Amino acid sequence: MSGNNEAVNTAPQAPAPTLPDSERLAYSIEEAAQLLGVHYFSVYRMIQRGKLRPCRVLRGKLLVPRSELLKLLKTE
Amino acid sequence: MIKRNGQPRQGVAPPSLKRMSDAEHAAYFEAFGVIKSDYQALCLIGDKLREVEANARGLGSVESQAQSGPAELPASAGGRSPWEVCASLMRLNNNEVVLCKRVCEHGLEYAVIDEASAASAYAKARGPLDVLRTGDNPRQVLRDYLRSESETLQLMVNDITANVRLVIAERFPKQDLRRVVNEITRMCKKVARLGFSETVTDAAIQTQKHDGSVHV
Repeated sequence: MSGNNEAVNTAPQAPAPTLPDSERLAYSIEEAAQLLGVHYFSVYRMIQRGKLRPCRVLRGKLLVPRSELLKLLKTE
Repeated sequence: MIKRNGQPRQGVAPPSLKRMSDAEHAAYFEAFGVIKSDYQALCLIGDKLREVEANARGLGSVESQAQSGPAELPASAGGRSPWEVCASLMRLNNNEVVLCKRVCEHGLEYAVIDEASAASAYAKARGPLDVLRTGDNPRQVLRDYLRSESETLQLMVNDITANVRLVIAERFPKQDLRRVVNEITRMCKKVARLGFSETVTDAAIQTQKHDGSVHV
């Protein structure tokens, strides 16, 4: 999670919201924030409010499943 | 005394570190180096929220501020009137949390809204506005917002300390370094503490009634 301050809020330049093709199954909070284009405190807030369901791995560290990000970026 | 960047104040060894062994010292600086930026962000967000908390007494002036120069957020779905920004509560890079109001059928409605950059993937999919709290009483809305943010800060603290445990387990295997984890956890909890309580807010509201000051 180091380097969060430098890495936050790089909004994807793609015209439609989507995730890059990847084999990744889950992302760190910082990575999720980069992909969503929001500050990573907003990602913690989404988790706190139940808008994103994280998984806990490795001694309790939070990860955001790719499927959850895709669900959030799915336009309604 | 430990400074906010986690380093000991020059010439003064932190009491907690004084009692630590060389291995614990090494683990402390290794782990803190990894979570340093998170810790600094925690300090920043905690400070901003404490500022909001302290400025709660200015809530009585919300209406006059909105009338004097409202900034309008994009209209929300359903063709309802747009939110008028009463006060900016916190800005974190491209995200800004604002206190807003609008007129609805039953009078004024207040909300705390997290506004994301319109260019972000999240805003493109969900819209730039994330309404965090709504209600007809701005004090209650703000109180609920702060309580919720306090919980989010706690979640962040837990994640940071999980990262500390992970780093220590990876780089200092088979060593008992619980005191290091506990020390960093204590530091994080300290800066994330809002001290928000009914009593504090009620006192602030009472003060606002008397002096009518404008702080938000």
